[in-house]
Amino acid sequence: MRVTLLTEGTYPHAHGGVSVWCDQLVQGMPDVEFDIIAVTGTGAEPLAWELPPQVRSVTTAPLWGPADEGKPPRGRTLRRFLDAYERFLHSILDPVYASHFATELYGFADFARRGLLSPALRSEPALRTLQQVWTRAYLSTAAAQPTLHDALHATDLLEHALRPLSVEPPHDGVAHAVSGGLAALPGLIASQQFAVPFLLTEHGIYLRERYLGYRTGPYRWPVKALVLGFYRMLAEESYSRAALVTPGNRYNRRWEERGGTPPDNIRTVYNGVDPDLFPAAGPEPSVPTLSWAGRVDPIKDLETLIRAFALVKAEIPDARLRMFGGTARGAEGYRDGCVALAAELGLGDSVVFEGRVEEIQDAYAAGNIVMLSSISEGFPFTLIEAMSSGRATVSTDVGGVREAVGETGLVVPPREPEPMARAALELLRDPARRAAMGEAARLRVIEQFTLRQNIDGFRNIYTELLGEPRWLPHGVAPVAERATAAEGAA
Amino acid sequence: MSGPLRLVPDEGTPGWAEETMRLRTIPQRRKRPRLGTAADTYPELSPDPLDELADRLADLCADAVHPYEIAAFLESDGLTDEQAALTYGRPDSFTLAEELFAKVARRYPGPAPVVTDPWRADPWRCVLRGLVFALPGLGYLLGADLFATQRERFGLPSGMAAMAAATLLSWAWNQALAHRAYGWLSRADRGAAGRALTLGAPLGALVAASTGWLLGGPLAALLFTIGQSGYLGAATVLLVLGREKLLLAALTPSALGAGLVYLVEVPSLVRWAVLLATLLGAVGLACWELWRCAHGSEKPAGDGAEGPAWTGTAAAGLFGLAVGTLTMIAGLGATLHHAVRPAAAPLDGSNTGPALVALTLSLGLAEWLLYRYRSLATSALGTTHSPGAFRRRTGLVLAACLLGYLAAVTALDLASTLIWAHAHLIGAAQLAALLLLAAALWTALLMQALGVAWRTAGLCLAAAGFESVAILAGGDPLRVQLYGCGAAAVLLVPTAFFVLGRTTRHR
Repeated sequence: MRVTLLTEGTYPHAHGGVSVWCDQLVQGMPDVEFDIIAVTGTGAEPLAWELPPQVRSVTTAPLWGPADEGKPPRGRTLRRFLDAYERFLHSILDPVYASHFATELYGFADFARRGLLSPALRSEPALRTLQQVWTRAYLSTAAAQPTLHDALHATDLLEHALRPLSVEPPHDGVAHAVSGGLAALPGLIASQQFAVPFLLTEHGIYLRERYLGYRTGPYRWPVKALVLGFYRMLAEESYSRAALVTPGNRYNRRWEERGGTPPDNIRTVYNGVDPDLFPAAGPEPSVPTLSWAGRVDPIKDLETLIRAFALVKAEIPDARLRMFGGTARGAEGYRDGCVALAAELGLGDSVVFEGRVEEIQDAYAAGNIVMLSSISEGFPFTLIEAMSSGRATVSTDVGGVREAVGETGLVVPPREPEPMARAALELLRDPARRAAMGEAARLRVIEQFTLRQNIDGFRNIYTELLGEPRWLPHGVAPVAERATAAEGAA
Repeated sequence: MSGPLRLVPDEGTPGWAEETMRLRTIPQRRKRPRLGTAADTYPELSPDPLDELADRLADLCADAVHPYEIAAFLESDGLTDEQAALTYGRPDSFTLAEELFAKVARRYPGPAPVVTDPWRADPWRCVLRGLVFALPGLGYLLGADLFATQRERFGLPSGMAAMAAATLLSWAWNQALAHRAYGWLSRADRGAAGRALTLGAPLGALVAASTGWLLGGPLAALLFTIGQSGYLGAATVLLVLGREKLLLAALTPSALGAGLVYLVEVPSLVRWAVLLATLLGAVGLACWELWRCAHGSEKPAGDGAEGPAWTGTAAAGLFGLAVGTLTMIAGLGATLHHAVRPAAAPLDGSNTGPALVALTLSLGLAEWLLYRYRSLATSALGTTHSPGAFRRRTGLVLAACLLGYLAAVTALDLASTLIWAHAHLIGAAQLAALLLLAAALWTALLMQALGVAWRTAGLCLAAAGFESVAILAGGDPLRVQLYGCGAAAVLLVPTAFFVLGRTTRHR
């Protein structure tokens, strides 16, 4: 069995959540041959992971650095490109032409592999085309009066974004993109040209992150509209072409269905933890304690947690709140604000920022209840780790939290201290219920959210995709059959 | 951290994608519906809470490019579908976002305009660079009596041939070397730039000096040639690495010495000492800078990064050669004519000293105008909406900068004529030749700076080739220059208008 992992800004060149998951996936399947196509920054990044022998190759598709200095096409090729480019731009800016996007994208892949795409995009005629197109009165960009500087800026960003098209796509096996967006590009080409089944896994929603990221960037409106329009069309094409889309939680399905994925093609595969690494945490602390673990960051909304704790402390004066974890880069001010808030509420020593801990299990063990107060989450690892440790939890109703917790903890609305405090008090005052919930939580993890299940889930999907012809265009034989036929012929 | 990559490394601000919205989409406290009083005979329709939300998120919605953008904000702020239903009576956050997008008109506030101009020229720096371009000329004043003018070789004052050849070679070589080093610097690799200079500058000096030696001449002139080759190499190093002040310091002895020579008779030993001090100063400071480069760079040597293209380097070298030839013919045209035709009558207006001084002094200003052009062209990008308008705008800027430069050269020429002992006022033809040369040089430098390497080098080489051949064939130097530089200027300026009028040249 052969799988090409398609990544962007993560495995095997960077650390982080998705990267850990990729490593677990690859390590967990020693019998599968992996190739990796990694979209990276400079292309000179060192590997962050030691690759197991089942990884046969790592190909990088760098985004940054100076463009290919080849000659732009001329004559008929240039005219063909400019016509295609005009349709491509229309497909992004005008919903009426949306159906052109895929055709032109695959056409660009041919230009890219002949080394013509970057020079063509950077040429003066291409710039004139863009300026002509997006100033047409019937397009929304015209009202924003794009300048030539905007045109250069947008062309530049588009040229960088399309660079992964020049990578040689996989010809067989499964093309498995571990995020949407640019990582999917080689997979789309493989699917279109070689009928390789394309599998798309989304832990977060790439498109949503791009929309958030571009808000604060230095972009004028038309530039933002074009680049985000490109990402939106790319997401829609990925969703509709994927043989299967596997979100990390059911909450993410909303964006995927909205983006045009046929509901039958979505299958949730939950992340998992190793229950042996997070064993039952044992006896609870003697002082009633709420514990929290994670990276200190505004998105975790610790203000609400501290306010809720103030309400708890009013009822149970010796209660404590312990928060474990380092501070995110740039969030030092936020942390200081939280400390000031605790002081203002007169909580004194009962609220403690513990900082980074060696063994994260200790953070869960330190509380009678584990709290999660985030305003946005996917399928939080901290939650299933706490559950695996056998602790009852109180968490906010965001992302996949409700799916993870089920009946084994209490779920409250985000940003509201009173319900959170009520839930915490309820559990603090009822040790029997707490214990029962903790036990059920650990069982729930063992039953549904183990690492083994996650890996086996993907192994089954690979097998299924390689054996079933249902997503293939008419008249194309599935890869497995072709391979058998080829062996037979040899 | 892993996650979506930026498309270009310096895109946006640090912490860019991680910045968390703190919009308070969901009201902190829900208002309890007020019970109707007796006065409310007809209960009013309750206001749509969406109106209030639209007010609160007005800026955000006005800048949004798609309902998705608003939906992403709402979700990142903790709004769930359940809350969209409970608080706002909409089935999900997407519907809510769509309604907000439709309700609030686009205003395109956009990001704050970028105030940093990459081509902002520091006038003092240009003055400084002008000085270090002009001051070496004083070296010739100091070294003037090292050439024995009574003896001749190749029909020229003895030693002059060696000197001219070495100068041309140095000029071409150092132009090419600077191209490579600047190329590395633009890749933020100061270490590699330093290595290129460490290897290239001494080699260039060696090649130029040995050429001079082979052509031969009086020992004093040859020593002067060797020293000049060394100086030019060292000056290239210091200029490329942006150490104009150090170079100015090295030139101080020459400046003082020249002042002394102008006032009193000075023994030749002192002249030698002054020249040697300048040379040793420049070479020493260049070595020191290169040493700092080698030990201060973080990147290890030879990490496989691709350097600047060699074809570009070749073009830069040929461009240097051509420009050097054109300038040299402007300075030594009459002398060369005399060498070819010893019997001809001495030419009128053969004192080209003031013209060359004017040209040298104007180099700082020329550089400042190059920066002005680029700055104005870049700001034109941000204000024009069609390629045609951009071409017109850059054309006007080009004309203004060029005319400004020519006016400055004229003024400098008149000024230096006044100071120069026994110089006649410049004739119309000589002035025209000087201005044509200046126009060709400035336009060529501009095109070179904007990456039009081969066309510029080709045109300049053709002009230089024509002038050399015509002079050697015994043509009148003034007329040769008028034709050569005239043709170059006539071709270069419209080319610049068209090529630099392209938007993509200014990315």
